[in-house]
Amino acid sequence: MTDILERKLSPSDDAVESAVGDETVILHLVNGTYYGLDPVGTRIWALLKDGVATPDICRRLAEEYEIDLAVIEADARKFLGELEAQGIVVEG
Amino acid sequence: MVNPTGYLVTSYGEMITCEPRMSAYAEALRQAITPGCSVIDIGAGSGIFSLLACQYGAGSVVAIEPDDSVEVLRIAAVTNGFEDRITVVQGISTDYVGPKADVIISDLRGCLPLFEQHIPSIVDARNRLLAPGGVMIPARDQLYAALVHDPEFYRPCVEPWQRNAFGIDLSDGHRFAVNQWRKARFTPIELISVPQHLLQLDYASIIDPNVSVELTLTPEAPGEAHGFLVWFDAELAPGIGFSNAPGEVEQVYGQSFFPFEQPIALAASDRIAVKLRANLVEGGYIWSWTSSVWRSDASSPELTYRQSTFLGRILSPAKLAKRSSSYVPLASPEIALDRHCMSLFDGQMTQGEIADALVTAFPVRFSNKVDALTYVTNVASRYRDADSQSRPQAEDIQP
Repeated sequence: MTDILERKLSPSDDAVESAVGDETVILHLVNGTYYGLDPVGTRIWALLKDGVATPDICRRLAEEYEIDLAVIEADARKFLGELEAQGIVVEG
Repeated sequence: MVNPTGYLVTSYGEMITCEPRMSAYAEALRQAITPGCSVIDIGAGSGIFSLLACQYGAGSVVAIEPDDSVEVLRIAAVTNGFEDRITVVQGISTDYVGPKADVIISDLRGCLPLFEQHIPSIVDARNRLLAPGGVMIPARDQLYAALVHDPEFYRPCVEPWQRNAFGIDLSDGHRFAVNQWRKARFTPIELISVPQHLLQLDYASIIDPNVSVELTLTPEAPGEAHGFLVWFDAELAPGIGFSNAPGEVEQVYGQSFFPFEQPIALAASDRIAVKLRANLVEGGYIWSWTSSVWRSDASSPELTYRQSTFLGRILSPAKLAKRSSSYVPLASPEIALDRHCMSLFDGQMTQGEIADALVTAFPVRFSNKVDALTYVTNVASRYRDADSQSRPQAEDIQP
């Protein structure tokens, strides 16, 4: 199975978001489920919305937060995998 | 659980005196009724449709209504001599179990037909409660939209958020003000585009309560658009209906005004492409509208506003986290109190006896029996009827 970081992901049309301070609440309109994103999740979400490719998102976060790239990539895989499983992000 | 609508009896009175709505409903019902037929009245309120159904010759009527306004119907049924034909069910139709009916009549709309549990209730009633060849009233609704120019009506979107007399920056509140739709009663004067058909809700076939439509609104002349208006025309039966369109006789429903994030100056050759979505979430609709402004010959939109009633809500991630499946609820004194109270609902003890027991067990929480009794009755009222079946059955009227 292709590494999720190798795939083009974008926010689903079924997701609406509301920023609350430096955090974000996302509602999936079809299944009616809410998701809370912490500041790092909010940053990833913002970059996804800007069309930034997932490998580039990881590199930027590694620079911005001064964290090892491998650690960021592992966290991003888990995070994006959850968002994809919930239909918050879709391929394409 | 009982979900009272919160309507006052006077609200039901306004619906009955609302013309041409009421006459149209009455005529559609009269035409649908055959001698001795069965009728289900969903959201019966104070029961005008149930009473009329009897007057027109129905053999049996089930009136379903969660609100205590059914008490008015119980009395009126006796007053009008229909008590042997009307069965009152205080509850919601999706919980009701009973025989199928030849006619199902309802008006569960709000300002628009996409309102709370209207569509799921209709779908459920059609599938479970309508006899083969039966009649649903209403038959369908048609929704329309048009651009609006009305700076005065738009003022709450601007003031005090973007300007106020006190020199205070309240701009953070602007987002909440422009991400709500509002009930309106416009006339054709405020419309600056030709109305566009938005969608049809055909109650004979509708399944999905969610809708997503795209439309293009073009001004009839240069001007400033503050938002767009949505209304519906109802077809209750073939040839029988009414309209909420601007310029028509004012109806109880009103119309729905969706503001733009900022007023949009338009030339006659410009257009606004709107994608409108309505999604039923947790019993209420989330409305989302994305509006793109296209100048006459441009190959891409000059600007796009993405708005949603979701953005009009004040949310806290911390509170929402408590809704997730991974959250571990913590024990609390209130939970312990609820648990103990409900353990005393044994079908034997009276509420007064339970209140006495709670005063003894929770002396800090309840300093007197009155407070405890209020608490007990509130807990008990969360449940429709502790000593009946979970789904409401028809009950005979007790004069």
